[in-house]
Amino acid sequence: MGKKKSTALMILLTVVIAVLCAITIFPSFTLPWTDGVKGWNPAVMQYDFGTDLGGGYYAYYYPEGVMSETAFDSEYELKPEADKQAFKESYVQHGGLYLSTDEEDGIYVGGELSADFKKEFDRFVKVVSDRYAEKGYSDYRVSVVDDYAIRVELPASDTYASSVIQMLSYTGKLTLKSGTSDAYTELEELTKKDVKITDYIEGFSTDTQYDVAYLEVELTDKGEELIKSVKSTLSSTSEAEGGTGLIFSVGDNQVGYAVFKDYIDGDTITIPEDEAANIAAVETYAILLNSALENGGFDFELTAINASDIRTFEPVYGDNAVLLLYIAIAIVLLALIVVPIVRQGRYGVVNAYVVLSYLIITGLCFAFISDAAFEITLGSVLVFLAGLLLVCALNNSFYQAIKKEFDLGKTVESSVKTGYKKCLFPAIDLYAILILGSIVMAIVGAAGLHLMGLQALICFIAGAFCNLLWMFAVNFIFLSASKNKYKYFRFVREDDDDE
Amino acid sequence: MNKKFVNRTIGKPLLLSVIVAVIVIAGIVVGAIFGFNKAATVDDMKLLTVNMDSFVYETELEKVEEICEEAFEDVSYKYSQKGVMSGADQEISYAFDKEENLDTVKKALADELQKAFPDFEIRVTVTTETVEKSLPTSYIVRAAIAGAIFCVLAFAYTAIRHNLATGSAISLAMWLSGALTFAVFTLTRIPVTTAFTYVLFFNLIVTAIAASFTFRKVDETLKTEAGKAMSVDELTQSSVATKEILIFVVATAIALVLVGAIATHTMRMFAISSLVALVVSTFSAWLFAPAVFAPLKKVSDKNAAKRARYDYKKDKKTSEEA
Repeated sequence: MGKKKSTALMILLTVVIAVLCAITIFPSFTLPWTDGVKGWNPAVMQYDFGTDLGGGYYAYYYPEGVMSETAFDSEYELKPEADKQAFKESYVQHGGLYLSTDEEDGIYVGGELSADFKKEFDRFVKVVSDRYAEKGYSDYRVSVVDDYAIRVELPASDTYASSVIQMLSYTGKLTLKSGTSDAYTELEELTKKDVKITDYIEGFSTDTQYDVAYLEVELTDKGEELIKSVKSTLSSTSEAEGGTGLIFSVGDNQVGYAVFKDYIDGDTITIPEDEAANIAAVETYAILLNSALENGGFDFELTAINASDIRTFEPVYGDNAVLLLYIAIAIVLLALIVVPIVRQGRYGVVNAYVVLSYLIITGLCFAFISDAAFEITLGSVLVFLAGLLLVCALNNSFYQAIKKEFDLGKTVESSVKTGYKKCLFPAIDLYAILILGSIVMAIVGAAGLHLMGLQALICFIAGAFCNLLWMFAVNFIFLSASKNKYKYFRFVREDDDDE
Repeated sequence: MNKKFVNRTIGKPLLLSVIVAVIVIAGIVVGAIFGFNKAATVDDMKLLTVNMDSFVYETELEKVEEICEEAFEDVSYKYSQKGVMSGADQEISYAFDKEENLDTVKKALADELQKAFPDFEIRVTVTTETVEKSLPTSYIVRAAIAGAIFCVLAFAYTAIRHNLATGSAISLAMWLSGALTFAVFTLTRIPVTTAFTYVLFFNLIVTAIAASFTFRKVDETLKTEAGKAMSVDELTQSSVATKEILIFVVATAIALVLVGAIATHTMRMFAISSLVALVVSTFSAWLFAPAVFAPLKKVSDKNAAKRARYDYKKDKKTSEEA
């Protein structure tokens, strides 16, 4: 390649990399105008973080008749003087909770803590834990508070956290009702004694098609007959237009949209619920309905949870964890750029371009590839660092291989060609193993490990591209533009017959 | 010095295997009896919560935290978490060991806060939390299965591309690395969180990378005339990529130290966990893999030589039958 052409390409490459780096990492700032776009945010500020880096949401589930010490004190102070003593006597302190002694609440029976209530509560705790486990979060926590309340924590990346926390707390039994949006009544068949809902419904699942997320219901033979018998009473129109439909409800809570005639096909009901991008919300319906189908209802209710009861918490690793992490990674990047430039001359500059290319590819992919909840966790940091250091290590091994060939007396061009050839297949083998490992982690691993596997796949594919193709191309451009190829690599040869 | 050290270990695969086996068995026994040392975020705890209204939270939070920390002088808390509820209430929670008795601290703290903020309602409560689930068992089982499949795939790919001895050595190094990391965490009682599985996967990746540096050199040496004439032990000793492995590992360690040094205390524990995994994978790739490769290569070469004999001798039984 001629010097002019390669110089022009170098300049173009530098501009493109500078622009893409700015898109990826240039710090946020507010724009001076008030209309339109108000601020600049780089790709790295658009990540969804797990609880370790991004904090999350938490809430408490209190059975009716149970309240926190704070709530008890607040209510006590609001009571008229005459009622305070009676109120105090109607509750017993249990750790940081107050338990109602009213037998209607079922917690105390005959002046003693009810073993049946405790058993039912413990069963509910296991069911709630399983519901959250099904959600597939990279990080979450379900804990029992003083034996009679539950605390749940979710990562901040869940944009539906509020509805998840509310829906997964339902204690009612699963039932099928028909009617209009004004009133629904349970199907008569299901109100009969000894009838089990599991005789009619096999299970619930989700699917997406044509930008719509669906809730699918598999019916048993008996269920198919029941639905056939009520199908003629259903409308083809929607709930909003006052049509007659079927709804699935857990206790008194309707889950998902109503079922109309057109959604029923033999032993399957397919209910369009939301846009395909919101499949996570529809999955919550399926988790709740399957859980209610399998476990039935519970003998107690929870105090209603409002959106205002849900708290946010700061990242587990501290408020400034993300900023400090970025600073640490920036220092590592700087070192990986500067050290090769000092030791390897212009080849080190090529290494710098390749390192920045790796940063751009992984940074943009992490920001804009979505897998419903593509959270950035500490696992992401580890695979990013592993990929980055591998890119630099392999660049260095290419350099050493070229130097070895040069020391044998070959020309620079010949040394580059032979050196790359010798290192190429071992590098391909290494990346092949790492990519296979990442695919396995992504497929077999669950929750955070599944995400880490996907992120590792991105990092190692980006690394493979950078080392096996991009490095060669950038080096070719820079080498072509170089006046002194020995100085380019910082090679020294006493007898110079090659120029 | 590094070369002498490595050369000494190459001839002792059995000794290395025994040492590793002892550590892994000890880790399994300790793990079975005591389990992992769970970090605060995944463990049972006693939670002391200071509940206040949004005005105090926005304007006097530092003072509240100062008063709390003075009250906690005689007890050590694991971590703190600030909770903001949409509405009037905000709270700071401090996590303590489940067995800690916080009644005195609670009363003292409530009195101090009442004195400092007489016009505001600030409540102090203590609750005990028992973790039901922060990670389902199925998650850990799937992580273990994924790791095992990774090791098998590494073996299969390398065995097909190169030879059985190299494939076996890389795969064994990865298996050992994972098992040893698990054992070291159990024995040293390093606090474990959900991020432990990330560290294990990272450990397998680093082992695969570092081991491949050595076996690339083995292949390169075997292509030369001098290499073909070498014995297996000489070949292995001359091919261990000590410089490349140590540079890669040291660079990774520096990156992890930077992350741990600059970031918060809890991040430091994560960096330490990753460093431990890094040290284990260095041992596996730098020392164990070459040590186990040499005898495997000898067996493989012997079998290859038997099959390649021009006067291939049938084994004794079949010759007697003939």
